Amino acid sequence: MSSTQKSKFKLNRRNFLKTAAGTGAVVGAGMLAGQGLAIPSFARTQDRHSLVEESAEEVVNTFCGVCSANCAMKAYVKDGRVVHLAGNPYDLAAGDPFNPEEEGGRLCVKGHCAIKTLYDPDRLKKPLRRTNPEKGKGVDPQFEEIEWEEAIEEAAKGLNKAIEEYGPETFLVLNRSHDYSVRLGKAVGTPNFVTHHSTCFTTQEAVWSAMVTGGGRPWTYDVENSNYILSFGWDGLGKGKNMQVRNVTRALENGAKLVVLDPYQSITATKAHEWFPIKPGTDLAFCLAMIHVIVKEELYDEEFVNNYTYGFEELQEFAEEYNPEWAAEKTGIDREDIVRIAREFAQNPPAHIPSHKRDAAGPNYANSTKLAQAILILNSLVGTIDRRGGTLLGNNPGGMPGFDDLFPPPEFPEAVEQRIDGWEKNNPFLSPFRGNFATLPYGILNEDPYPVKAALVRRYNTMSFPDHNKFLEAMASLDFIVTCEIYPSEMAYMSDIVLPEPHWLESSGFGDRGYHSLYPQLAVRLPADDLNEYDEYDTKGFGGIITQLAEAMGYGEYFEGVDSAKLREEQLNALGTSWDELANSEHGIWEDETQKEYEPATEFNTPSGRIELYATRFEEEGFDPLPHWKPRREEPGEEYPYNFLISRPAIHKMTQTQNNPLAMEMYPENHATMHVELGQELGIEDGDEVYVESRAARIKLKAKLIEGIRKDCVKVMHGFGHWSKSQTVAYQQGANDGDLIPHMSVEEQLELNDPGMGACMTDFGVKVYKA
Amino acid sequence: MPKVNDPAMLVDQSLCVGCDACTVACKLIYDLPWGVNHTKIDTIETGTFPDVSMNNKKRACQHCKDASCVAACPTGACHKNDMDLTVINNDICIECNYCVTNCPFGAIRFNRSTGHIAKCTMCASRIEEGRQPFCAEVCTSRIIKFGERDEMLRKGLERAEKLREQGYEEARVYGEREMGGLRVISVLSDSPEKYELPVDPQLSAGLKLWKSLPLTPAILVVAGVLLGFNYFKSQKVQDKLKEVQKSKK
Repeated sequence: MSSTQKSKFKLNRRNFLKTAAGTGAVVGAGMLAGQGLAIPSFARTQDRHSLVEESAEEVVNTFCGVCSANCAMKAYVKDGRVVHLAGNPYDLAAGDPFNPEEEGGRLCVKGHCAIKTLYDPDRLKKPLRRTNPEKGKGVDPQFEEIEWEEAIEEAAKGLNKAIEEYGPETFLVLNRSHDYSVRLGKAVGTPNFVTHHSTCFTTQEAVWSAMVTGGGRPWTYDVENSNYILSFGWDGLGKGKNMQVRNVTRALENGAKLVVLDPYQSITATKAHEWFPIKPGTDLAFCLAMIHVIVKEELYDEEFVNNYTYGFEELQEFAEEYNPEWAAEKTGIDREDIVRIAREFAQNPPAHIPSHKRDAAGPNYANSTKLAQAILILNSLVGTIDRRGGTLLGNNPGGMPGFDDLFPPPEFPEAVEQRIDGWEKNNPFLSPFRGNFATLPYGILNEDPYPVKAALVRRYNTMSFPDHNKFLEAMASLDFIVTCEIYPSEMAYMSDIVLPEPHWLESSGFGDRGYHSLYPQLAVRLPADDLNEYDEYDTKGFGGIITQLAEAMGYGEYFEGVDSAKLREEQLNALGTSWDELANSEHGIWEDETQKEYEPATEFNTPSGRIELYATRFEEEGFDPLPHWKPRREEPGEEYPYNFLISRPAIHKMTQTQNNPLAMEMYPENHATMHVELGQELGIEDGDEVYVESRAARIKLKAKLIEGIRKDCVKVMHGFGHWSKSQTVAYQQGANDGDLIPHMSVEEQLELNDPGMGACMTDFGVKVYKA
Repeated sequence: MPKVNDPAMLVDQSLCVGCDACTVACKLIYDLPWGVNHTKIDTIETGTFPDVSMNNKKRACQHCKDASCVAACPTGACHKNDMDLTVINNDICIECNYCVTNCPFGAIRFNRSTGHIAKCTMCASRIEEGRQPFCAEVCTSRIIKFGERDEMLRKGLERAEKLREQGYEEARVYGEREMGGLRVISVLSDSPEKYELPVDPQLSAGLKLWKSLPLTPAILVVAGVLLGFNYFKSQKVQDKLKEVQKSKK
């Protein structure tokens, strides 16, 4: 019968794949070119194939590389292909080591989809050289495949030419801080290391650094044990993150109350007991009134405030003027509700306000840093800083030697202090390796303070930058760009040389528990597949690429003796284990049995040794020690009458997953989401094509009319609008929200006098009209 | 876990965040093409601003006791297995799609790429081996539970009671008696209408009549002819396919 015939045909192809995987050199190139590497198909009528645990020939311990949560996972391999990813039950992030058997391991939807990225036929397979000298949006680079040797040589030549002509500071290192690229940049002598953090969480980082930690911010939200969760735009349930979803749903199951303030009915808001569609950019006023009520009515946790905080008297005096009537007027929320929520928050311990990244306290508004400050004060008043039911400072393994400890470099040349993004002028609370995405195009295009003409980029997309078109203009003005990527992304399309990296499911290493470090734990990453077994693929790890590039550029001495395997081994030895032990352990997990009990901090890394409600460090640097009310930067006005909101769907990771066919089937494009009545007012129907326009640009996308959003707001999901034709699934699906965000000059940013200044500020107005 | 005798799933829809982790994991493991799902989360918005509710519903086979699809199936391809789970034997399916159109939950699909009916079996094979269905295994928010129906029902009723205490007045269990009792017990925080679920659905009189008619022998003859036709046609297609493959080589 036809069904059997079909499954036989499948079976043959599977066997073929297996042979191909085994022999490596003998590869069905035709098949690969035609349809990419297929995950083996199961005979479709055979339900028994769902028994992956029984039928897998290998289960590989690894951890997820989609986001920084690092969820440990088990990769099920069948016929040489990864067919299923499961959360590791013994991992803090993905599982529940206190109850592994019953709770099992879980992953978020992005983790499950990752298999389709690994085997995506659109992935970069070989080094590419640009043959079209013209650069810009929509321009085909006309890549040709070249061999590694040639690619490295050309990359080195191109970068060196610019460095010789303009000086070392012309070299821009654009990636997440990585030991190898930081060393190369320092060896060249550039101060220009720019990461994406200014688009992400600089507000929270500055506030935590000044008031609690002395550097860095925590990520572990123990809201599972909260009794009352209050959110200012925080959408933990809507982003799908494993531990956040688990912890909030557990809290709700245990009867916790959830209250959400958000102009848009986020997923978290749909699960909340109360949702207040607050006026965008006024969350700070709500928080200040809460502080006012809690202080005035003496509802705070006296024990915690007296023993662990500093500056309560100053706070008392400060909060006097911010009464609920004032906040009601600012926020559009009834005075009674503000008072009631302040009381509920203080009287239902443990209560907590989690704030992760780009919620209202993330770098969205000119007053977001102050909001982050106010939230930290509120959480301190109810005693949930580093206490169960609150945000925990986390406990990661310590005492491991670093890259520089183990491989001390020869002396670096001195770099100029001035940076192309002006970062050195205003950010004593953030690492010098952060940088600013918003001011970068301004600096490059105006050659202020000097020309930047060469860049080394790793896995950053142009679409992640505010004012995308301006950024493209800036990148096009560079003489030479080298990009390391797994996809032919938009950044790759702007580059002269593109170097392919392996997918994380092909890599090895170990990682700590990014977003849920209750106690020191590490998970191993072992390769679950290796596509380099096929002739088509020739990828290289980033460390290896940089080492070769450095040598070709003439900086080889800085990488002499550098060895990733040695680093890994020495780091694990410092913890009393070894690579072999970790790699061969059943669940790929290392943990410190003696530290499983959480020890709450009694002293904090601030001048007073306490949590500083009155931030003396801010004061020293000329910033506001208390979060005095400050409005957002731009209110919507006559020309641009609506507030602009950005969010992200649970199934996509920023701009990285739009070529994943599975993720795209579930969520294929973004929309201009607005209220039904606003649509009617503007003559727009659901599904109509519309323009959303800001003072920076306009984008065209479909309208979606809903009830769960304020009538003065337009919301767009991030990640869409790819224009690289080589990403065949993502190409031209939806539009890029970042086009609308204006870039900034360094002076404009300095005027804001904001210690946690961010890059993707969305406090500007937009207008909407039919296309 | 020991093998469950009277299998049921408990889906706490009140806590479903709609992330589609279950949808995706199911699609991967059963290798379902674009647009075909055994389970999928529907989001239903009701009310007007600011009193809006957005409910997530896991749309999948509910494994009804009085199953419309089983009643509608003319060949017996859609049937109850020995655990009372509704499954399809595609070898004798004539692709008439009666099950698809008669499902009160919109949970059965026709998979064009295989010419097969696609529906959730509650991972029957996994249950046989003493494992959980895949969706229960992967659910990020852990709101899909699996076990004996009595226990699932009890847990569901407890949870609904808790929700009512929290002020969700319309909270209830769905599936205790609907369609003679479902094997997927849902906890709703609101009325079934707010989830676009049929209120008090029952096997229709028409289907009851259809089922009681002594047509089976006649249908089997017709089905036999159709299957024969199907077989010869598929042979032709296969021959052609081989020819094409040969010519490509």
